[in-house]
Amino acid sequence: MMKSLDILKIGAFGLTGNKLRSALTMLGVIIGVAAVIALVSIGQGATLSVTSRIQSMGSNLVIVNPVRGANLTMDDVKELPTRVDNIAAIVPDMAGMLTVKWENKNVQTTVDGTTEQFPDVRDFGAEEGRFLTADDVSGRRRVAVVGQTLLDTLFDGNPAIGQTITINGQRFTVIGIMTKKGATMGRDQDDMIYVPITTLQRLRGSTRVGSLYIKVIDGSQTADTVAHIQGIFDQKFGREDSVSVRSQDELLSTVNQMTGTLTAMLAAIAGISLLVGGIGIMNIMLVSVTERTREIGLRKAVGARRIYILGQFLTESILMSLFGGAIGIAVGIMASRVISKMAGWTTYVSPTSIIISFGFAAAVGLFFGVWPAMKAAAMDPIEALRRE
Amino acid sequence: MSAMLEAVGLAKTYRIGRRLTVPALRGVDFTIPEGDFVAIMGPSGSGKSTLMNIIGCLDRPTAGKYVLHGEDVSRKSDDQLASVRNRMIGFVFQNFNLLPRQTALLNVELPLIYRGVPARERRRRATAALDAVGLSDRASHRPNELSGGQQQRVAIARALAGTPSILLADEPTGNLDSRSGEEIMALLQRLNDDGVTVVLVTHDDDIASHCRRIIRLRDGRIVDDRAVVDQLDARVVLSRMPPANGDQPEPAASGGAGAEGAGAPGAGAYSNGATHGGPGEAGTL
Repeated sequence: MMKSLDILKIGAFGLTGNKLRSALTMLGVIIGVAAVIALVSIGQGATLSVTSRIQSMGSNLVIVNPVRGANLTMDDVKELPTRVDNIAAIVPDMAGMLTVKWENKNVQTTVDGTTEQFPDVRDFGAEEGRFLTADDVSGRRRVAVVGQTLLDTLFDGNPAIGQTITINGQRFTVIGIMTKKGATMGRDQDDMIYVPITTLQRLRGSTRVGSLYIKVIDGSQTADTVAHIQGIFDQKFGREDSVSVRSQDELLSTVNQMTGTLTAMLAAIAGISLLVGGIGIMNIMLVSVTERTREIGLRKAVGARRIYILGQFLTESILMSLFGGAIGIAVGIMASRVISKMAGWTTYVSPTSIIISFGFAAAVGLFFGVWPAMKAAAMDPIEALRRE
Repeated sequence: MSAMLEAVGLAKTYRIGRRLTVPALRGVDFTIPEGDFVAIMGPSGSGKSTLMNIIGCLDRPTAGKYVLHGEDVSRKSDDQLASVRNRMIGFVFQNFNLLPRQTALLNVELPLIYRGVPARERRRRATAALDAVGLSDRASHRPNELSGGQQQRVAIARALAGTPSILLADEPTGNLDSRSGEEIMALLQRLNDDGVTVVLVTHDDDIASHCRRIIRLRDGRIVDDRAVVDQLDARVVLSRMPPANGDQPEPAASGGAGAEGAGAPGAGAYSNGATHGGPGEAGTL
């Protein structure tokens, strides 16, 4: 209708009356929306990177971790596939930060003891040279497969294969280089050296195994397999929950739950600042209505109905929140990029978070604009005109 | 002439607190025919403002009946009254009440916006109204670029734009110097000659004697209601005033300035009879 368009125009024109004030009021909404976008992007980025890290471990995985007092050994690694049907491959994992030396260079890196089945379970292996073999493991050979990062940090770009390195004073021969895996969650997956677990156990004087990575044959049977494995270990150690057996899906859902809570908390904190922005709108609109009492009186005298005055002031508050919301989205996306660059975190701005925060901003403008607008609409024209 | 405005036993009682009631109007009867020019006078506390608010449909009487252009408006809701004001009342205020950030033209368009008149038609009518008050060359000026007299003329144009049944002016000359005030009165007289019904509220006898009829109120009752015997012609008064000192004179005065010469009542108050500095002389703003 003609009239409603004119009311919108009057409302929009009202905003230009005190531009600085309108801009500062909008700033409240801008900061609120930007905070929601940026903080939620951090939360969702964390979810994304943890998820991709878990998925990068391989597929159809079951992970067994010992709980206090329960020690896993290589016997378990050998015995488990004979008792559980659904196991395609199983590898032990025993990782620790150790000092590695080549010629006169020293680096601290993660040394992971594993077996020849590692590439089957984790879906990645050697790119150059070869990975560990069964003979390497059973023969406790001093051989190592290095991650790509070490090519720079340790070998300075020199050919690595065939070189002799020293791990904790023991000499190892480099037999292969791993495929590049990249960094997830700020952790470099390529800053690793893989050696036969048997060799590492001897080096450290231990028979223990850190955890077991099991690849199942049939992914739909994972739940049964998990229960079965749990039962075997509980019987062995004579107590319940002696080990934690988790499938990858379970792990994913647990992590997603955690990061989801994190995202929700961040969104709530940011939402509060948006709410404060809304209160700013209400504050300014109340001042504006009081200041413009005579204008309202005049408009009513020349025939403005309540709804027109209501519409005029609601337009002002909603426009402020809509503009603020739009600018806030832009600022939020920029902030999220800056955070990602500066802190090295993965951030992700989802369309949903944009839509929700924009909608929330609009709702805030409506909600906090209604009372001042109603106050204006309810004014008695006689009183309003008399006001100086 | 048909009655434009009819008040029968109009009463208004204000309630202060629970018990105390203050009667502002105690039963007022009068009829204003179409084309009349009435001054409503009375000391403060006489009920003058209350009556004006009821006439202007800003307020409702607590008793009695008020019929405006054949429509009983005494029992209407706020929104219905807003619509009645929009169609039938043209307000002129003492302090002009123009929107400071809008041009003269947009100020004049205001009542038409709330009536839902399309933009093009609005512009046409507002331009015509500004033309009628002799300010078509000031259409794009803002109020602060206009003199007081010009601002009041914009306000009158705004009142006229909606072609109201009555023009209701509340002390329209109260904030103006005597010359600008006289020019406003000349404009109102000319509009009245063209058939516009004017109701003017004032406490100034001199201003009231420009009207055709004066209704006097005291303590909420009409104490006197009679025709003005020697109606002042503002154009004559203007012609006897000293030359304008800046404000551009009301163009309407051009036709009749000095035509009637002496003899206009109250003219003696202005000793200078010179007519120079009249219409058309460039005003400086």
